Amino acid sequence: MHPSGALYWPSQFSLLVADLHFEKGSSYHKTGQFLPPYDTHQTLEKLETVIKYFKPRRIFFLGDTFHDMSAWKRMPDVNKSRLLNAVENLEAVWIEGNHDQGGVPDRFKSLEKIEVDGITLRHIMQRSFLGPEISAHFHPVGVIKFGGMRVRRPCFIKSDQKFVMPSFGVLTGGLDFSNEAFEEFHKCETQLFLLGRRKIFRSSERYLKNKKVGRR
Amino acid sequence: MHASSGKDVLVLAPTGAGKTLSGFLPSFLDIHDRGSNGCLHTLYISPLKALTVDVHRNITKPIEAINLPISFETRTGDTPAGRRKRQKSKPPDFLMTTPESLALLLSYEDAETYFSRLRFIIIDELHTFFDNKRGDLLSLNLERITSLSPTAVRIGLSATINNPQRALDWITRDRGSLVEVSEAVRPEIEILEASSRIPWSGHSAKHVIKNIYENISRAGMSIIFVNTRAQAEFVFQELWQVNDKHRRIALHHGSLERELRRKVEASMAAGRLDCVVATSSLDLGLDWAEIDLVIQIGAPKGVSRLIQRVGRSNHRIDQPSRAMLVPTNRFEYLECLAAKLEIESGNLDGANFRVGGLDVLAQHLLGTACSGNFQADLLYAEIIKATPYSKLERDEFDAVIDFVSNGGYALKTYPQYSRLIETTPGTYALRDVKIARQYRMNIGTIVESPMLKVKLRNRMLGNIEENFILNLAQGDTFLFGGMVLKFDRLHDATVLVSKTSDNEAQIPSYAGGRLPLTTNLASAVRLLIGDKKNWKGLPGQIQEWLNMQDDRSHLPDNKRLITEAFEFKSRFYFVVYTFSGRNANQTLGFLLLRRMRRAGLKPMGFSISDYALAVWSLKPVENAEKLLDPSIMIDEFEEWLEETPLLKRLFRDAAIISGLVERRHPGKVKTGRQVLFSSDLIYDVLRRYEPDHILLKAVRRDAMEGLIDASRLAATLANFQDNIIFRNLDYISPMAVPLVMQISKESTVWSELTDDILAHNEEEIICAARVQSLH
Repeated sequence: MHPSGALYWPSQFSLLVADLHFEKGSSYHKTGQFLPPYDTHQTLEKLETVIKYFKPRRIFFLGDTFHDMSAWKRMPDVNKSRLLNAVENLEAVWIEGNHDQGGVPDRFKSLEKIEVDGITLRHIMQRSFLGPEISAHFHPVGVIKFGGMRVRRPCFIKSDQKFVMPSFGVLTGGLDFSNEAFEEFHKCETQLFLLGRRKIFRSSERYLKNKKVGRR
Repeated sequence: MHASSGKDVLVLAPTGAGKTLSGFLPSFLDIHDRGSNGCLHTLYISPLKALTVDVHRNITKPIEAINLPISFETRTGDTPAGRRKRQKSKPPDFLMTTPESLALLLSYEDAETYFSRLRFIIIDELHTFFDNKRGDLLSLNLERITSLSPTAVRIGLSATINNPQRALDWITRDRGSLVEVSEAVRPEIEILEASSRIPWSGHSAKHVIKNIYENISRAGMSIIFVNTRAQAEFVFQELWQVNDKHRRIALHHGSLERELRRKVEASMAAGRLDCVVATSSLDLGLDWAEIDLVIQIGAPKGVSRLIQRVGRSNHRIDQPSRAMLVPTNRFEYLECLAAKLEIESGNLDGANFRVGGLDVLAQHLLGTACSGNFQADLLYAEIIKATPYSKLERDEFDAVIDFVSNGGYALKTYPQYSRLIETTPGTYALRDVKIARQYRMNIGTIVESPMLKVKLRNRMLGNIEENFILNLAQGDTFLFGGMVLKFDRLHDATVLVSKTSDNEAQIPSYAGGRLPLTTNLASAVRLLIGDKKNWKGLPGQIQEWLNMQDDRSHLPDNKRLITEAFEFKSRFYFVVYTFSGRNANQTLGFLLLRRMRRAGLKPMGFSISDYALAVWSLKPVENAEKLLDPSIMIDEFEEWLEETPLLKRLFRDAAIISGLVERRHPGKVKTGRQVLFSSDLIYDVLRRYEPDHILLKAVRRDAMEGLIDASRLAATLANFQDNIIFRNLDYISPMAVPLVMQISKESTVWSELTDDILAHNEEEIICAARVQSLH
């Protein structure tokens, strides 16, 4: 797990990233909300950095790579080629999300899900699925309360069979782990891994829920 | 009168002098002489919806008495759609409205005809507009009206302030005149004598609830003012617990559903209530002649504010208003007494005037474009006539136009989506009428903290701060709408609650947004403490407390800056008694964390009050002068400003006001959280790629005053630079107790510390896990 929100899988020489939401900023322009058009650029920068750092052979995009169907079309050419260059020498696997179903550029095929070494990768967690599964979609965020203070950070969620990735895009919001969407994690042994500035911090679900934890 | 001769006028009068009605007189005379012209004749603007309703009620009598054949109506966000539509096609002679509704009216394409024959503009409670963005917006719209109807006369009505000339400049065009009505009698103010011990800290007033109840029982109609919504809930609840005489007590605050508030207001007017517990939602000029006691619970925070509240009682000019102050802790006792002395000697707070916000200007430019094409040159000339914008540079104005058009980024992306298009050089038009619809849904400069609806079975009770709810666990109980409620769950931005039989809530709700102590009152408190001769009015227990402080450490006064260091419960504390108000103290807290960290003192957090701040660290402070050297306002300040989450909060407001992020979009509901989070991210992206963006500039400027209050802090540090007293104590000092008690409840973390906290948290878990595995 990397503080950028990427996940590296050493035995597979694979890097996993999720919810990049390219061109989210510009998607608001047609409604008259001129969000800064730099988010794609910055997310790409992050992507280039982690690829350089882990030097994977394969990269999995776990869905919602593009914010909407026309995001690829909107993307400035310079960013298009940056993305293509970044994944040029590795095998890129594009799993589709709810935002970009069918919106992945033609030259890549997008999959609904894929099984790798017995683990299923897909965009949205499937409750009825009992096997090991890595998904994304929810942009999970953990909140730690400590002596009256709160720290809110994107996080990985891990339970016995399920693993949920944080969003990798820079302009993406987050959903608190206490939300109903994560209900099933509230009932079982779950660990959260919060993204710090330079490292990952671990916190168990029990600790997060127990709000009256003070200092010693 | 001046106004009848076509001159603008400012009327300064103490509350209760009947100034609202006097404002209408020239207008009555004019319409009486000339008759109605079938157009809007007089516009009345007040800061509060409730006030427009109240004034509407109050002018009915004189209008009927002199048998004026005119129509007069209110128009606010609460006005039903049908009436709004009619008001647009067939305007009443008199329209009573708020700045937001005025901006809305001015954004329609027919604004020019609508306002063309306007004769009078009356602005009530003018003093509430000088130092905020609402005032910026109002001043811009007044200039707009003047352009549409150059002969319309402005009449400003304000409470008494000590710098009237600046207020006159603000409201009147040239040749305006000032009318000052002096107060006939000073109010009678007493401080409640507590029969029990006055607490060190907290704001509950629990210790004197019985005394308060006795006082309202003896009085006829009374209002109890408190400083926060949470406090209103608490006091209301406590009063009902002791209400054995079955007094009719109601609650009024801004988070309650509109219907509930209206019901309370109507009951008050009809005399069906004995007492109302209220926040500033009832602060301003509502005229109920029958109120004979005002109780202020908690610190008054400013002399003028207190006078305003006290003025709610007994609206007869020849009799004094009666008020009772109820301090809830020891520092507040000092503040109450100082305020009482200031009022008795006639010292008022000065009004603060601000430089107009660029975010407000952006909103105004879009609104102007909604009503029709504009020429940049003419509009610029109009805008710099508004006092808050008189120093606006042309290039800034142009940058704001660019921002409104397409975000104002160096990187231009989708010109086809621009909101404004330049039809001919210097003339701008709205690209699409849909944008006008969006604009009208997002007018206003008041950005609420993210709120969630509270729902009890099928009934909506009102709104509550999201931050408060996020800190609750299922089953926790809290006070709201005068009831103890149990938190069940959060569903679609609605807080689902159920009733409980508990009398007491577990979680005392706690809300920010409190006003800082004014400079004038702060200095009065210092004077009071610094000289024992002034202690006569203080109860024995407070004198004892001050004497203890004098023995063990040092008393704050007007000439020196007192600081203390001590160890308490294995933490080291450094306390600075700045008396600079909570905002400036908070800023100093952040800066000290930074400087102390650099000095290797391992600071961990701080807590603040209006009077002082306490930083706690793992190593002791040994040199206060070095830490408080004014250079902190340059070195640490610049760094901190780049990173502070406070700036993010301001940015969120500016992003919403300027229209970068919408509050509401046709057909879509956006919850507060979504806005908050995405605006934080936008801020980060913008700072990185366009640090000189106009919106960042706007935010930095806002930050200097208000929330960060840098100017006040800088003044404090510079004034006391060579007069710092540092006491190294063996034990906690009496005056530091309230702050240290507060630390666990509401201390503030430095954003950079968050990783330290995460790490600490992880260590604790690891420890816990080890202990478990040993068993």
